Parts: sequence; C-alpha cells; structure tokens
Amino acid sequence: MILEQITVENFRQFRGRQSLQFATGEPGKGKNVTVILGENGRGKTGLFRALMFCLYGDCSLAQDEDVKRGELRLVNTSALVDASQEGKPVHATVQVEFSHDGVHYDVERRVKALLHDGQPLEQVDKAELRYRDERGNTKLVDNPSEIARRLNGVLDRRVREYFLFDGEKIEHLTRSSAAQRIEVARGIRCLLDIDDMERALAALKKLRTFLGDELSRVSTGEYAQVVARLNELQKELDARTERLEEIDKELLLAEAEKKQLDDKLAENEGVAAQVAERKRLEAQRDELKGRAGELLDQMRDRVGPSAVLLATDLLERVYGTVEDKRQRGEIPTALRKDLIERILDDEVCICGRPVKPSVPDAFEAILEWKNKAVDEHIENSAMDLWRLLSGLLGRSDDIRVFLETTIQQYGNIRNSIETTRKSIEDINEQIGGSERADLSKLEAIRQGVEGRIVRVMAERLVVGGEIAERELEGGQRKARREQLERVEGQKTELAERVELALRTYEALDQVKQEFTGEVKTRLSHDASEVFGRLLDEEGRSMLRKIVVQDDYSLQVLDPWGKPFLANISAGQRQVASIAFILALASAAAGGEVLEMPLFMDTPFGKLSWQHRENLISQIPGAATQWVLLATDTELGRREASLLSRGGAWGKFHVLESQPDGSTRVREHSVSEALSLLRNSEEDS
Amino acid sequence: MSDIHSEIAAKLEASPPDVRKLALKALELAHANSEATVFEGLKNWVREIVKAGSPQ
Repeated sequence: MILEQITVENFRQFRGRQSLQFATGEPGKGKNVTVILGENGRGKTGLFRALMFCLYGDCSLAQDEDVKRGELRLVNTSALVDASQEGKPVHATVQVEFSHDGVHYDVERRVKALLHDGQPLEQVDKAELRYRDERGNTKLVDNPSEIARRLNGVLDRRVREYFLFDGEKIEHLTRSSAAQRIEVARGIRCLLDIDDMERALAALKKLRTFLGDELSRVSTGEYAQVVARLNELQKELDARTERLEEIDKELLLAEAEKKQLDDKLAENEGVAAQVAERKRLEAQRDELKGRAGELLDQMRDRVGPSAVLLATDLLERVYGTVEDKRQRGEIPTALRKDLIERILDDEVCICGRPVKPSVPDAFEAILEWKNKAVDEHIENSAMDLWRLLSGLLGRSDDIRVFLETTIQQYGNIRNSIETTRKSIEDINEQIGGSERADLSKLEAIRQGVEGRIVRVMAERLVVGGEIAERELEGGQRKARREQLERVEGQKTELAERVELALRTYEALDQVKQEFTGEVKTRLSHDASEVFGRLLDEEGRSMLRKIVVQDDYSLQVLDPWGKPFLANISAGQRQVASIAFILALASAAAGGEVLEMPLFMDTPFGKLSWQHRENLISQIPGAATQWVLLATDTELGRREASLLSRGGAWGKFHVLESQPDGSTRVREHSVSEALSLLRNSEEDS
Repeated sequence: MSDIHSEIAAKLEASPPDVRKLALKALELAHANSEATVFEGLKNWVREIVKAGSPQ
C-alpha cells in the first residue's frame, strides 16, 4: 500500500473539504517521507482516525478505550450546529487514495449526523471502493463486507496497527494481552502467507480422511479392518492434536487472567507484599517442578541399564570365583591341555627329557598338570566372563551412585515443592480471608483460575499420552497394511491415492514447521539487527537481542541472555516495536522493502535525541513510505535539518488553527520547514 | 506466487515428485480459494497424479 492522498470533509477538526498529498518516492532513492505538523488538538490524531475510519470503518481507536460509546463524534461540531440550525443533517466524509501492487484504489466512507433534542446522532451511510483493474477499467464496490474483504487483502486488519499506529501506543506490541497476541499471531501468519499453507494443510487433511473412508468402504477382510482402524486412529489423533492446541491457548489465556488479577490485587497496599511474595514462590515452585521433571527423565533413561542392579549379588559371587582362580594362576593356565597331551603322546618333553611311566617323577608331574589344565575354549570363555563382569560391576557402581544421588536430589526437590506449596497456600488463605470483600472476591476468582490451570495441565499430560499410544498403534497397523498389500501383490489405485494424500500432508506439515521456525529465527535476527541500529548508546549497553516468541510476541534479552523486557523504558519499548515491525515487513516481502507505509502519530514523544536521530536516518530507506504526524516539540529544527539532509523528505503539511476553532491543512515546501519550526531544546 | 511460496517450493524439492506435485497444487489452490474449494480441487488432482504415475 502506498498512500497517495487523503481528503477529509467536515470530519473532526476539519471543516469543509480539504486534501493532503503524501510523498510517494521510491525508498532509498526518491522522496518518501511526509511530515504533518500540528499542535496538540489541531487534528493529527484526527487524520489518523480518518485513515482508520476510511480503510477499516473504525469509529474508535485503541486509545479511545476510556471514552464512553456514543460520546465520540466524527462529524465536525460547528458544521453540525450550523446545519442543524437550518434543520439539515451534515455529512462527514473521508476519502483515501492509494496504490497497491500496481492497482489504484479509491475508498470513501461517509457519516451522516444530525442533532436530535440537542444530542448528536451519527450513522455511517456510505462506503464505496473504486479500483482500476489490469485493463484500466474502474470497478465500484459498495458492499461493506466486500470492501472489507478487498482491503483486508491489501493490509489485514489484524495487523493494521503494526503499520498505522500511534507512536506512543505502539509499545503495546510488547504489552498486549494473551488474547490479543493470539489474534495478532493470526494476522502475522496471514501477512507472511503462512495462512495459505494452513489452508492447504486443512484441505489435505480433509482429503486424507475422505479417501481413507472411501478405501475402507470398498475393501474386504482383514485389509478393510486395518484400513478402518487406521482411519479411526487418524481421526482420534487429529482430534487430540487440535485439543492440545486449544489447551495451549487456554493456558495462555488463564495465565494472562491470573496476571491481571495479581496486578489488581497488588494495587492494594495491604496485600501487595503478599502478592509479590506469592508470585516469587510460584515462580520458584514452577522452576522446582521443571527440575524434578528433568531428574525423572534422567532416571527414566536409566531404567534399562539399572536392571543390572537386581543381579549385583550374583554377579559379584561369580566374579569373585573367577577372580580367585585368576589370582591363583589357574586361569589362564601356564601350560595348555593340547600341549600336555602331545608331550604324553610323544613321551618326550619340550626340553628333550623322556616322559613315560618308566620315568615316574616326570610322568606323574605331567599327569598332575594335565588334570589341572582346562580346555582352551573354556579358558577363553572364563577370561571373557571375567572381563565382562569386571566392566559390568564397574558400570553398575556408576548406575547405583547416579540413582542414589538422583533419588536423593529428587526427594529434596519434592520436599522443597511441598514447602513452597504450603507457603503459597498460607498466602492464599491470608489474602482470601481478607476482611475486604473486594479482595477476597478477587482472590476467589484467582484461585478458580489457578485450579483451571492445574486441571488443564493435567489434561495436557493425558492427551499427550493418548497421542503417543495412537501413534504407536498407527505405526503397527500401517506396517500390517503394507504387509497385506505385498501379499495381495498389488495396491489399488484408491490405496495409492490415500497414501499420496497422507504423505503429502506429512511433507507439507514438516515444511510448515521448518518454515515457521525459520521465520521466527529470521524475524528475531533481523529485529535484533535493526534494534541495535536504532538504540541509543545507553540501550546498546543494556540490551542485546530481540526474541520473537511462539505467539509472535516480543522479548528483549540483556547481555547475559536474560529476559529484560519488564525493565526497559517506554522509549526503548517503542524502538523495540519499530524494529520488529521493520523486520516483519522485510520478512513479508522476502527480504525486500514491503509495500506498506509506516504511518506514525506522535512518533518521537518518548524518544531520546539519539533514538530520534537513528530513526530519522534509518527508516526512510527501510520503509516504503513514512508519514509522521508530529508536534513542533517533537520535530524541531534539529530533527527537520537531519531529515532534510537525508534527502527523502518530500511533503510538508502544517495543521493551522482557524478563527472558528477548526483546522486548515496548509502545504509548505520542505525548504520552508526550518524557518517554520522552532529550535529544539538541544539547540537552545 | 510470492517469494514465500517459492521458499516453500524449494523446501519440497527433497520430497518424491508425486508428493511435491500435490503439495504445490494444494498451495496454488489455497492462494486464492477457500478450504472447501481447495479440497474439491485436490480430489481431482490426487487422481490425476496417481494415474500419471501408474504403469500403463
């Protein structure tokens, strides 16, 4: 989307019909920056509101959450009063012209308003979208849902606030609720075209089930039974996998709800310390549980090898017997039985002396050796056994020591978990037993949420186990089906279709997992890189990296790799959010600049001079279009001079106050800006 | 198709030709159609691909 022009008529502060053009040059080469300057109350947010109203039909913004429904008016008040004196309604209109992917769009929305018993009544009475198709023909769309569908295809409404935003509110990207994050994650998947892949996967899953049912219907005998069971297993697996996803969402929501309740409770001085202590204890309990789980896994891995411990006594006895013989020199024997037998046959020793009954001393000595000597293979086996038992007893010692230590550690951790649990329960009782009804009620709700988390986590374990069981059975049944197909000598075409649908689903699912993993890594890398360039010196020394989490929310890491988001300033949050937006835009455009404007209301309010300087020098080349709605305290001569030197500043509009209280948009040349702007603090 | 689709197509290079063909058809259909339409389209494509791959 490249914004070309916005026209407002009797909308908010703007009386009469007024238009404003945006700079549309190529990023990095042409002029693509537009500055709209106005004092507070002159209509900067009014223009932002006009854009959101026209493109998405939004009658209120996120920042209006404290304003009661019906109190917010879109129609210019003096125009409404004047019209009502003549007994007529008045219309407020916004028209936005933009281009996207080479197509020109013109959107217009209108609100009709009248005064009824002194109360203003407003109603949207017109919405039209015109676009020029590839043949140059202009098409008109006046169905609101079709307009929404087409505009959603240009910029998905779920991610609109990533590109069209209030600078001071943009930090909410790093603070949004779990429910919002789920919604935003969907929008981001759409922006990155991952939703196409999800739709393709859903259709392939449906195809696999459909063909599997068909095959089961036309098959006979054991083959039919195996195919039917495989279909059933697949459906059960699908249902459980979906349930796991739901459980993860439920957990995310419940955790967020618990945090909100904690924040509310912590607002009360009487229990704030207890709430903080409980939070610490719960974190400690979760960490201990994690460690206990790791120890259990390690012990589970040793279950097989540890079986040797059951036979330790027997092994030691056998080893002792063989070792005694070895110590006494009976094995390996000095003389081997086959050599003694040869001496007796030849009746001559290897030294040449005769060995026969007529020489009794030598003959009896050799006979005695013969009785002691053992067969070669028995002797070799005895030595093998000795070596095996020696190694086994050494390993069994290692396993025994490991198990004893681990069991002890596990026991200690379980005790610590129990102690922590009791401390948490004590705090629960103290807060729950508060004399203040509002606190005990909040605490009761919190305990309900905590109970829900425990139940859902238990269900997660059960469902995980059921999935593993079904995967195992599925593997066995699949092998049997293939065996039956081999016996029958050929596979039917329908069976081949089932197989192809299944393999395609698995291959595409694998690609999706790889791709989304890579996208998150790429987003984290690119956002960290931009973050480093936008941060001021102080920020660079404290902050190292942005990590994009599974739900596409952000975390900021300190130089030691620890989460630090909770500790950073509002300005740094704003910079982190902008870094993420630029990385997201680049990822969505395959490494290029995404055709999407950055429309920022109050862009610099919370930023240090160095942050402003970095943004001014970096953004014009990184975004298709940059629209800044600023006050003269945010954008002084110093900022304007820097922006002007960059060569990308193309349009400059000032919102001027009129005697009747309304606002007039006046365009100035960029060269006039320095004389119109005041010195910023740093210059004075 | 966008660059992202090209990336996905590249990742499918290692898959057998019939799997790759069906997956790419599914992605192509999903780019501008509903799930139900993609499913209907794939019913035909899976038949075509298996037929083309079977010895005549």
